[in-house]
Amino acid sequence: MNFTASGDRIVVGALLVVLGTAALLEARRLHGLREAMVAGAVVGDDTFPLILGAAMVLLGLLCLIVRLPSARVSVPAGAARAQMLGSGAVLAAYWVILPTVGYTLSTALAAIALYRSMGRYRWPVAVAAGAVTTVVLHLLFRIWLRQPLPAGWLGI
Amino acid sequence: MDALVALGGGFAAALSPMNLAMAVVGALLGTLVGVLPGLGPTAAIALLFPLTTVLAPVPAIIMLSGIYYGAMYGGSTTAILLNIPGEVASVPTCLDGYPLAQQGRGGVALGVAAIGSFVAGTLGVIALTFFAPPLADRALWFGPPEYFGLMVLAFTVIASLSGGSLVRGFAMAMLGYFVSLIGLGPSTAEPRFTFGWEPLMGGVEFIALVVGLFAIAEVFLGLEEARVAIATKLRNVFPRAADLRQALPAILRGTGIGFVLGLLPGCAPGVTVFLAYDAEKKLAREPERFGRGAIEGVAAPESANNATSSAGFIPLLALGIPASPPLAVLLGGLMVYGLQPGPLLFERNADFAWTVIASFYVGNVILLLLNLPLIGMWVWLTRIPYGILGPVILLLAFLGAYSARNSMLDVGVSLVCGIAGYLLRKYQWPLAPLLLAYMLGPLLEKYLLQSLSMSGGSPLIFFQRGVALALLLGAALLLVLSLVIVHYASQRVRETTAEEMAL
Amino acid sequence: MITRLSLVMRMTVCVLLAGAGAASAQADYPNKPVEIVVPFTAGGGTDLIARLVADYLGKKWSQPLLVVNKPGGGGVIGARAALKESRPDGYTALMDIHTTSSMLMGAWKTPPLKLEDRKFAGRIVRDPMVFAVKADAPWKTFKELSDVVKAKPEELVWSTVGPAGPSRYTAYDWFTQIGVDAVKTKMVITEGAADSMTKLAGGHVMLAIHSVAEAHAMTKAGKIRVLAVLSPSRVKFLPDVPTAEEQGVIKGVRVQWWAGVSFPAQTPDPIVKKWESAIAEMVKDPQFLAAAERINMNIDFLNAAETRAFVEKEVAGYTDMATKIGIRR
Repeated sequence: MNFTASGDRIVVGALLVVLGTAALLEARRLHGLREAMVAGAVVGDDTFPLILGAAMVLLGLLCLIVRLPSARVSVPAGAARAQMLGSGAVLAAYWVILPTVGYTLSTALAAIALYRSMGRYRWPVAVAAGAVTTVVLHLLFRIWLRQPLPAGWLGI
Repeated sequence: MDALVALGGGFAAALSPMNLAMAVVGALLGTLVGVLPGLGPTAAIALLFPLTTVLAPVPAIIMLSGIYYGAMYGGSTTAILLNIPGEVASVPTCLDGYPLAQQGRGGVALGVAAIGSFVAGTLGVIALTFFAPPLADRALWFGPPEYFGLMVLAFTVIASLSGGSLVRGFAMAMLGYFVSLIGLGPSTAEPRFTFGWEPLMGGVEFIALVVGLFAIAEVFLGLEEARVAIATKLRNVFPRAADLRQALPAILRGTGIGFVLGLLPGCAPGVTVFLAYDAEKKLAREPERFGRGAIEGVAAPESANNATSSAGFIPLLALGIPASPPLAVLLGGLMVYGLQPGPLLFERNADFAWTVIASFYVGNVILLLLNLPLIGMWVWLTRIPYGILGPVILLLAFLGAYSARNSMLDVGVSLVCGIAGYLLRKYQWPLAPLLLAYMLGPLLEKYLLQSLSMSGGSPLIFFQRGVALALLLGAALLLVLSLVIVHYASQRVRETTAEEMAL
Repeated sequence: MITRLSLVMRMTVCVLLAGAGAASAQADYPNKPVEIVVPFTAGGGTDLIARLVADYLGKKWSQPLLVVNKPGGGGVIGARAALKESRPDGYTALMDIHTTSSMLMGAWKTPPLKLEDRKFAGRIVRDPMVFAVKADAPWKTFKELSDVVKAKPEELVWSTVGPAGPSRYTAYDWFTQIGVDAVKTKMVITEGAADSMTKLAGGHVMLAIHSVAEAHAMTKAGKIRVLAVLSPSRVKFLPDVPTAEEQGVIKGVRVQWWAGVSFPAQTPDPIVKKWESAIAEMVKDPQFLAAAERINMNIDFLNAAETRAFVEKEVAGYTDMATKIGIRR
């Protein structure tokens, strides 16, 4: 499915307006603090958020009003969409379980799940590939980079 | 000739066995990842950067330079063999490289590309040796207002990185500046946008941001495009004398065009490659050969690409302005290692700076020596199915983001950036301005505050000082100039690929 | 092929080491490179002493000690990165100074870093502050400069390393004593003494206040001139420079520059002890002392307990001073 997008312009424009407003509010808060800390200073940590916030709001409004040359966008469908959502879900789950389950087990599970969802490999192949990946990543991150990765409640 | 002595010292450091080994490892890894069909050079550098953080700064930067050259070369390889331009700078290479590959002469095309890269790299080092010292001598002239002018000049680079639409480019830059605000303020260390939450005080981690925006997003895009490799036969890797005779003038012209334009701060390779390709086509006696496998059609844009990048090291190291997305990631890497590119670089970190220059050259040479014999292996690598590649890249990105600060928050940030990067890329919002603004934002802010403190709040200070005023005028001029060339280049991109592509 | 072979060997060794268990992790410290965070730009006093220490201990322990500059936020960003955002395993140390400890606590009622956030290994340097101007500046003496500032405070552009840095404490002490409204002067916040000195030498600011060692390189290069030293008596490295008191401008010495090494609060004690005794040995080594002398660095050692007591006393002093000169909030 192909269509010419225009919603992205609205989303980015609105995002700019919202973040710009946040920057302006933050600048006001910082201004008070600066007055207390460095009395008499003409600029401080609030100056740049103030300028940026104003610019963001203006540009955001421009995005909302003016039509941009729009891009032709295809929406992923079928297998690609399933793979994309699947791998995204696996990564999110990996992020949730890593600290408690520990690096070794969670990485093996994530790798197997990714090989299943992205590669559509059969279970034995996915498990074997996942095991190899876990070992290689272990060598890379724990041994070469000496990275302390969370061990979790299994201690691995 | 102090500069030559210093460069000699740099080479001595870069050629120590340990550092040489790191250059080889970097070039191999860089090519390995750059050649994978899912990943362009920017993503490759972003993905591999965390691996260098375990090393001391000098070997780390040497490895990084190897990765950079390897990744750039890997990008050319996929362009020639698979007709996949990982980046807009490789689009013209596809035009004649892929037909050559179909004729079984892909090896020759790759060989010519490597030689072109080598010639351009050599020129770059020579020019840096002569350009850097006079600039360093004038470093003291540069006060906060002058640096501010420089940052504004860098800001205009956004025009050439924004793929034709200025509004899109500036919108992304604003988001980049906004992200750079998170953390402690530069003057009174006041927490900003942290909502009183401690982990945010350290700001958004560079590695988490680039890994998410480039590596993770790229995997999603790759999934969707269902990239498949073609089987190519490589009859001969080394170019014949006749090929070289044909390619050499094109290499020199491409290098010339790329180099001269690359000296302008902010002229991206995506622009010069088209100029070089078109120049070759106009000069050729039989222009109809182009598009059907003309060796000059590979030699010229490849040389221009590398020459622009090599020349780009001059504004990068001397002014702190990156010309292309891979150079922007590289700039981030240098900053992580405490090297602040700019006029003071050669005064404060002279040894380190010269070592970096020497190591970029060494990386270039190693690439030439390594790649000609190994081309067969790279071709084999391009056939790895995406079902294996995707998971490996995602896991590497995930753990790479974690390793920067041992923080799960960073991993979360990079996952969010991955989704955002995918959506933005899909809807043609350029990511390079976001990255550039994120990196240069703190500097822009610092120089703005210092300048205004000096003048008691009056912005007139930027117009009363000669160098600062010249830089601001230069920025305005450059903006106009780059709008013109970008317009030209994006038209050419549309003609050749029938789609929009961020420069 | 040598590369691949050595990599394989390295990995094998690492696997064996990992097998040897965590029990020996502290006994063989350091078994990998140690980072020393300097929360200012390269070339300042904190950076200079960090590099001397890194060089000396790196050779002694045959492990590289890496100096990492993380400037910004008046030193707070780097100090937080070292003490709060790193692993407390002894492989990240902070080159700790007054700006990131006692002066910070003096200037802030709720400081972004507290004394409890760190374990000191010892103090290494103690140095007086100096007042420096560009080499070709019109003022010949500190008295002359003070009179000009008294007459036209709004024309004074001076640099500091942050709102809680020694430059600000010293300058405000000076302004208070000569009766100048500090708010009228123009303060430029830089990222450390090297940054500040470069701006002074380039004529972008008029006055910079730093330590003796920090002023050394630019003075030697003939780019800046030292007008006064803030010390009870003249210092051996600058015999011709009169003290501020001698010139009848500032009475008493309330600010001094020092540097020491500290670690995150949860760092294992044996590692901090190892550093303490290594520093104690280092400051007696003639080679190290000669290297320090070359950069005009005044070595003055205190052990871990003495350092803590010294800093605690400073906190009380700077809190009182900050309240009086109106920079505490």
